[in-house]
Amino acid sequence: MLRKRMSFAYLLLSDIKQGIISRIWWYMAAMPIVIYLILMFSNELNGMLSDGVTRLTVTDIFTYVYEGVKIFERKEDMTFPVMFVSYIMVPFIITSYYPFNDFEERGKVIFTRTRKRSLWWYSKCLWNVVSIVTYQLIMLITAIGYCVMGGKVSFEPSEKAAVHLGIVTMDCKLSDIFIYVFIIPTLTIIALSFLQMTISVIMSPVYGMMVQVVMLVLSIFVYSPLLPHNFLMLRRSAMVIDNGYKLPVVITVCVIISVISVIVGRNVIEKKDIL
Amino acid sequence: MMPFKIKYVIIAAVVLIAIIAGRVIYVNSKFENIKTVDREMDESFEYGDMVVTVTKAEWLDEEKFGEQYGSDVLMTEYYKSLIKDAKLKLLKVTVDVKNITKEGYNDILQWDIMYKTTGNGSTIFTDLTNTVNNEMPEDKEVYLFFRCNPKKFKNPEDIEYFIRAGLFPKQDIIRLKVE
Amino acid sequence: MKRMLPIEFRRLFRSYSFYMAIAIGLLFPISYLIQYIIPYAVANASGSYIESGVIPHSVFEYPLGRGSFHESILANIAPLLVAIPYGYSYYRDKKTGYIKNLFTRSEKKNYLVSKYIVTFFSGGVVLALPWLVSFIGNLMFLPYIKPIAGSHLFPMGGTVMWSELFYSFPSLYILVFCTRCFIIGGLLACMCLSATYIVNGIFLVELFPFIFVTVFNMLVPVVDTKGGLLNSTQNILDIEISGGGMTYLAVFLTMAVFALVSVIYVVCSAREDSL
Repeated sequence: MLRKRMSFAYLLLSDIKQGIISRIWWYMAAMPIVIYLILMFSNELNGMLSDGVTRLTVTDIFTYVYEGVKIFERKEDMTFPVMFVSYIMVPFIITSYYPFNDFEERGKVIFTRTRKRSLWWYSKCLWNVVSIVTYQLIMLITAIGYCVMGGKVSFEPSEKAAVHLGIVTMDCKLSDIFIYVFIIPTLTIIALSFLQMTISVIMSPVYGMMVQVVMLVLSIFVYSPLLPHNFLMLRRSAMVIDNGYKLPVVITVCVIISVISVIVGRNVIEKKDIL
Repeated sequence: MMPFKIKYVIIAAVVLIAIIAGRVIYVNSKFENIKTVDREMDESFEYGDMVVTVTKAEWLDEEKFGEQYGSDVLMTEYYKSLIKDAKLKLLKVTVDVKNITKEGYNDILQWDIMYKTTGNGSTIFTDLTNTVNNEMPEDKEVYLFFRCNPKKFKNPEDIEYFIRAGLFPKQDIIRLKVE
Repeated sequence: MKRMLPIEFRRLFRSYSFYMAIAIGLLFPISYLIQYIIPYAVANASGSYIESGVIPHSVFEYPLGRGSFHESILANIAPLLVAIPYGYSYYRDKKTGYIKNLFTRSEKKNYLVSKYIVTFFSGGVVLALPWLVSFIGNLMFLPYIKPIAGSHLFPMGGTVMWSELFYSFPSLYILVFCTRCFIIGGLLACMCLSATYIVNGIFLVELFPFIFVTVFNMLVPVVDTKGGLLNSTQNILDIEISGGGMTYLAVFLTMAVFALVSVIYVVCSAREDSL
């Protein structure tokens, strides 16, 4: 009976309940961020164009959110993107401390009742995925809500926004846009949060967060597939520049990071002294 | 108080300071000849065969600038916002150049004229210098434009202008005042 | 206070996290020294500056991070770094009951004030030391040539805050800048003391300054639309500010906002009956 209670499914459901549902207001932080970015982009677009108000579509909004910066050339020519760095860190902050907090508080109880400690770890990994997807869904719902208020929900990029940003063009296939604007950022954030979770469990959440910040700031200055935060900047994608990142590279890097993080984390958890 | 004896910390600190000081003295001894020459204040100075005199300094109406001199890089959006943010004004300094030579004129284009408030010894300077009309004039007035903070001084003709002429380390810094 | 302060300082200097935070902070000036300063020193030694007619590379031309990512990374991980040495101590003292031992043997006020001073000191040292080490490192390899106004070689425009100080007494400017970093670091570290009353969990307490700064950096462009009132931590910890947004008022108000968070600590600790 006890073994059945502490099965993997039970652990996962418990994590979703404790880590997401009871902390849902943390995830709601996505809403004001998206609303603020919509207002900023709308103001930028309509302030510069004199021929009527352009209503943004869902793709326009997400393109603006993950716009990023151009590849760094000279520091004198660059304004450090403080806003971008700040809101990109939000999903990592949300998912930062829960696994370790759970380990500290309930770890002893759970580990003595599960067959394997790795089940706890795998449930945390899946919780992580569900967490990031929840965050992205809340952003999507907010963007759709804005479009509903405007009277029309569309996933096609609007011409004026596309021209203004210079990222998505009207010639791009919708499937490509969908991949670069929605899928790649989600995959990347999931992989990076696995990495953060592993470091948090090995050392502490503070160091996990520090590694994230260092990698993010470094990726602003250095364009390399070894710095996955580059994949969160559409200006460095193959849609915009010739040597930009493409989906196969993103998937390869994300899978490698995720697999290594999960394996290392599992090994650490199995040997960790819980008393 | 410390996890190791304080005596050893003090010894280590003294040794470190000695190493740093020694290294600093050594590095600076290699560059002792790097200094600029300050000449006494003069009304004009000679640069080769050229004679340069500051004849006039006046505040300029930024809006009329484009009309009088044509739009150029000075009036791009970036510089306009620079003026607005830093609350600067445009100062036009007229420099009379006699016996102008091509090399000398090129050097004038690269000169940075700085101005100094009297009394407190601090150096305040502008964000940008430029000349209008890049064609070489013949013994005529050269206009130099600076963006200055008008709160630092009221009357531009009271400013002492420094012209840094020539290339470092053989540079001269010459002080000039409006004639 | 005379007995309590040395006790707290002893606890700080005996904690390995203090030296760990300093070591992480010093990584950046040392790597900048190796990557940039030493090559410049080698270029000076070769005498190439004589042919090109420019001044040799000098101490004040290359403060930490000029032209690279080192300073940006340090500015962004600052809220995490300052919390590592001593940010958790008050929370831990309360949770473990150690604080009751102290209150029975000494006045409550002595402990609380000492805690604040030591936490402030730890955060300040961790943030100011990299800049100081960077300056000393520069001094050891590059000549001390006073900055030349109008040369466009030095990282200070003529109209920015304290430019007069930089071009008249540059060493004093560096010391004043380090003092500013010390104060900012101290105020950020003291946020952890207030976080003890706001959040639950030692890691949230340590992450609190980072979360606060992330939210603050996102709100700065919203609140201060025209600039000149508030600064993000990226700007306030940047020695190379050349824009018009850095004013005395902005620095003061930003520090005041950080200091205001400490008021929570003062008020709650005074009201609380810890026994």
